[in-house]
Amino acid sequence: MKKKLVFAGSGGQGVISMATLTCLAAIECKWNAVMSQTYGIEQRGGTAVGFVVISDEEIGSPMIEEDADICCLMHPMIVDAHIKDAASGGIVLYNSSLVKSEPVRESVEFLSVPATDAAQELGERRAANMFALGRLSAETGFVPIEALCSALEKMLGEKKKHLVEINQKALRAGYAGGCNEEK
Amino acid sequence: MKTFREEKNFSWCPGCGHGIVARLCAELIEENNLRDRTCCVVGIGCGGFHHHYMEIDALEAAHGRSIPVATGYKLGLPDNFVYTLQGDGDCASIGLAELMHAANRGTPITVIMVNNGVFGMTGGQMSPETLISQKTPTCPFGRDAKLHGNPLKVSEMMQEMDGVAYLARLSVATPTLVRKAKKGLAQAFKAQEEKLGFSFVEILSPCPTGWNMKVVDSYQRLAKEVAEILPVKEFINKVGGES
Amino acid sequence: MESNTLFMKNSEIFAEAMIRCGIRYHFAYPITPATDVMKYTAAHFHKVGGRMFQAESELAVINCLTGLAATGQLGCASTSGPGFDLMQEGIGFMTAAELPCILLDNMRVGPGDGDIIGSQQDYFMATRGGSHGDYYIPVYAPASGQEIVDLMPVAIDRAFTYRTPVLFVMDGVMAQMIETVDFTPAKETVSSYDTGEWSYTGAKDRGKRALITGSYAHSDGEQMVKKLMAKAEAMTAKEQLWEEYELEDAEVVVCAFGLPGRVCREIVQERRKQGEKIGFIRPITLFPFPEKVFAGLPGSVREILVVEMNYGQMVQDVRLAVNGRCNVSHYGHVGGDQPMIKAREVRNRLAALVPA
Repeated sequence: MKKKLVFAGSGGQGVISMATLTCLAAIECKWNAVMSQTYGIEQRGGTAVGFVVISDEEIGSPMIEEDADICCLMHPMIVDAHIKDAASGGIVLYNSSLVKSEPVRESVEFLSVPATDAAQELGERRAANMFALGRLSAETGFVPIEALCSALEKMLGEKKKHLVEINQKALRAGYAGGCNEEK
Repeated sequence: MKTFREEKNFSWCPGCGHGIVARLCAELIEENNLRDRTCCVVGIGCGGFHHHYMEIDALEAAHGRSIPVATGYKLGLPDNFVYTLQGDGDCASIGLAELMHAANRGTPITVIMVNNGVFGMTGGQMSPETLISQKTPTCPFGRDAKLHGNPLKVSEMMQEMDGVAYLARLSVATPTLVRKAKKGLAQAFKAQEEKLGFSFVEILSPCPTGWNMKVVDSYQRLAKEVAEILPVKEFINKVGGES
Repeated sequence: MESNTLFMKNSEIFAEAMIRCGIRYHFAYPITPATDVMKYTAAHFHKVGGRMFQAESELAVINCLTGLAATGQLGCASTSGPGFDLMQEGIGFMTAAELPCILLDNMRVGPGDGDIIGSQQDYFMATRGGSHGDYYIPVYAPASGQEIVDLMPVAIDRAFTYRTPVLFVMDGVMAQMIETVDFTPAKETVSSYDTGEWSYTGAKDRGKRALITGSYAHSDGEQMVKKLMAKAEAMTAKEQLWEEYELEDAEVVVCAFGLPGRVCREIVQERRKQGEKIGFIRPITLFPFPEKVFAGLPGSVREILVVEMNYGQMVQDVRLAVNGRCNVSHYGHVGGDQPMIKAREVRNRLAALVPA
């Protein structure tokens, strides 16, 4: 099993956390993980992209070049640049709370998830990233939801322990289908 | 004296002040029983001959880099005694940044800058310490403040730095000043031994060859003209001893 | 850090491997993409009685390292391109002075300020030496976090054995990549090397020692260079490391180091499954260059494609190593957005060389 994933968004949306959590969840499953990231030049308000490869074997090339199995687009500003990262036949999740119209791209399966709105309803807008990840786990099984939940505790550590509850709630809500919106 | 190789012929020119400085260092190393754990880091220039006449471990650093070398050495062996011996070209020109940061950091090393106002080894060119209107091969019409700036008052630059435990400008112009220089140098060594911080002594010294002067004249110039611009003075003494 | 398998950034893996192998002094100045190393050592070295020293410049960094090395202890300095430029004088000096140390250059785009993203453009500076004079130092180019860990004890051994600076290079993409790594191979070895024979610790119970890299007679300079060249020759004979794959009947060989090596190996594996006779070489030591594997290539090889994140540096060593026995071509790319290593372009080049 090998999966390549791209998480792209605006700085501050937590897309790097999505990538990190994916890796940590994979490690919970005793798989290997490699992650790389790019940021815009600016310290604030730029773009952020996390690239992830997870595999139950040794990982050769860690690079993603239009061959991602899953591509998560969390913000309209990065749609044009990163929709091409998805492989033909891949899955493109987009945050429909912010990306108002379905992106244009052939031969991929779209997953519309109103992550920001759903997280807002849960009481923490910033947990949109976790809602999206939970939904992705339900739809694709790229990593089990339980691995995500336990990896989350490790990722947040002692310092951010107070954030575990709301983020796990968002993960599980996303997994359960969130606001039951049409797929 | 075990530390000083008196039988060796100096490769310094007749009348050079470096020999006096080396002698003072050797005497203090002996008197304080430091020889076994001393390391001297010399710069490039005539100061680089310093350790040839000393029975101590020594490192010849690249030009201007004695102070970071001494800093790294002191990190590795904090109980050893480390001093640098540099000329004004090495210390105040190419190595000024390293001097300022070590001083400000309070690195417990002793820096000795032998200031003769020229690049002696390469033939007496202008250094940051050359006096106004002094002629050298690279300012043949005399140093001009508008073109070259004024002599750099390195000691004065460090007065406001909390990391400095001992700071003085000394001179070898007269026997009295040599005795005074030894006392100042002793305080600088003590500042390091007592881990009080960074210690710096600037020692005014003649370069009869580089100045194109007779030895006697060069000592007179050092005592008068040079000292007028760069006065012999103790700026900081946190050791508390007589100097 | 009790557990042996961790998920860490490669720059941090380098720092943790240093700690576990017994290095206790790290000198550095902030520069992207190498700052992660000093951030890590600043947070962790004190726990083992070590020290990260942030110097005022890379000039100071390399010279502090020189002073530390003179005491007989092993230290490290990490940097990236522009900082590596500033360190060259000191690296040449340390080589001449026969002082061991570990160095890391996380390569970025240049010359000038260039770009903070990754490249492999410092190959020449790493292998030819950026300082003046004839000298060579061992250069290791790991391709993964695991290989950093595996190579650290080797590098430490060579630093002490040859009394020389030893350099690690990785591109800035790899430097910032995060991956799973097993630290089991990173055993403490530094303390097992005796440096009492040459270190400058004070003239107690012995005559004085003076570290001199200059000449007092013209024969001094001559002798120093001869000694350094004899070391380089010994390293060339004994220290070549490389990874090879399916060379026996290869017609085309892909050669790449570091991260591009990892990308190319996967492409070669893919093509082998299609039955194409393609082999693979990944130099692990850049100096000494693994010319032995090129000397031993079978007669079936007609073309070597060298892939680098620069516009043709290592390819020159490949050409020297094969000495006209087969054709050598190059694909290079620097900078831009991810992926900085264009696998598609490598596939296209291979398709042209090995028509289906």
